[in-house]
Amino acid sequence: MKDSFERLVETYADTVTRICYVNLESRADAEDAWQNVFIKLFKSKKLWDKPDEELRKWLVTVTLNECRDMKRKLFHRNHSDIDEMDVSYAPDFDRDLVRAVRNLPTKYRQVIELYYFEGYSISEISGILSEKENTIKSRMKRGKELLKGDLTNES
Amino acid sequence: MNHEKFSVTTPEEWKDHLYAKIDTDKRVRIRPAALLAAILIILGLSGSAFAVKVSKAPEYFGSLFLGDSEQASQVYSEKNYTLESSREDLSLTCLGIAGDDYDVILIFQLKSTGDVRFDNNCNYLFEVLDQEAPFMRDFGTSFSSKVIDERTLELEINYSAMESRGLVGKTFKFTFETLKEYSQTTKTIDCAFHGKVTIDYASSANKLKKTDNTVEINGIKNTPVKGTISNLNFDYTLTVPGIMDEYQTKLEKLIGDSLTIKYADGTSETFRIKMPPQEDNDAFAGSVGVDGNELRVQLRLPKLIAANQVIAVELNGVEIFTK
Repeated sequence: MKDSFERLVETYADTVTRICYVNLESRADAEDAWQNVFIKLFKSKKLWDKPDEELRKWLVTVTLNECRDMKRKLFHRNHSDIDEMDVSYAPDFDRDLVRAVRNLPTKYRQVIELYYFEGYSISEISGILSEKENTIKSRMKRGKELLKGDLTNES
Repeated sequence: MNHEKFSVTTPEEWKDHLYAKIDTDKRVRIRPAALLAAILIILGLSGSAFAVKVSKAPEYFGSLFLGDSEQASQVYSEKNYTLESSREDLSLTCLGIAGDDYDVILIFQLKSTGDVRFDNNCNYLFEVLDQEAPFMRDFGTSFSSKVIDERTLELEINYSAMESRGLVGKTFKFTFETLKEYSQTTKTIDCAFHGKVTIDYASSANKLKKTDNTVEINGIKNTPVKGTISNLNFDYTLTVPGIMDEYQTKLEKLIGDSLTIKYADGTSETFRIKMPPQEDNDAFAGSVGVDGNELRVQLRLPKLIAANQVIAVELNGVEIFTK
């Protein structure tokens, strides 16, 4: 049983880590959220045999909730910076864009992140975030405008 | 589905910590019967005279009913509940419960009168067993702890919006089975608490009256229309000009510099409002929402307050609610 779970961890660890990285500011919070997600997976054995797409969507939803709750926690400890994480970028990819996405307000950040980094469609994001597709589209538009403004100002 | 533009490598130690945590949990799960047997053996072998109260099988710790959102926005309790503990050197008291249609928050205080010491470098977890609403364990339930001093630990359990909405109109129950202390040495404290906590809806005495004040915050005029205060939250609703679907942006502009709570004995406390909080004593917006042209804001206070002693609340020096 442990082997099965460890295989799942190996398969999805980096996806969950990436979502934590985009949504949280501290490495310690990211580890806490990451661990909570996989403990929930460990306790939800009925999910282990689900198809990849279904399990991945469950993990994305749970991770976003964990990140949200982590940010809303009442008591914050002193944390190390999340930029200490080991992050690699595709050769043609602008790392400033990731930083700009991380600076977006949550509702825009989640949509942009799920669409561009995790590859979900508008309708899939609508399902994950329990929002209407039109809402997702308007957040996407607004998010891109904010990104453009941010990146233009930087340059 | 391969849009990945950057990759983050999961630190190996995270996996190690996860597997260690899971192994610890497995050991904990066999505890109730094994612990009783071990205690009896130890008592028998040592002939010790000290008494140990062994908990019964896990029982319902409390129950909570969420009504419609209007009622739910007023749910909280000011009563203190001390719960029966399986260890005489540890006691657990429910300090307060706050709730609305976004969050249900329970605050507990754990006190040690024996050898147990709380350390800021450890994480402390409650495990909640929820047979009737198993998804509560899957989505969004969060825990946090704060070491007040080495003998006092404060715990917060937060059921968040997604679950609260799904549970409106239903009764659900939850059980605390085990308190664990784990650190790099995976030291474990095993202790069960049981008893019943009743959630009371707020009485009118604790609702703050509407005033006609108009508050200008960072250039935006707002009219607070109603508010409630609990031990942990100050909820208020105000009207904001303009399109409400940009409320997040508006909220950031609305966040003022200070929130002052005035008490009946003449004292007051002032908190900075920051989002996200930057210091331990910062208040911050726990949740926001839009209802028609009204903006609902919940300011999460950084500490428990005596809500029944509050006579007024000021935002940026302007009294917006009086009792």
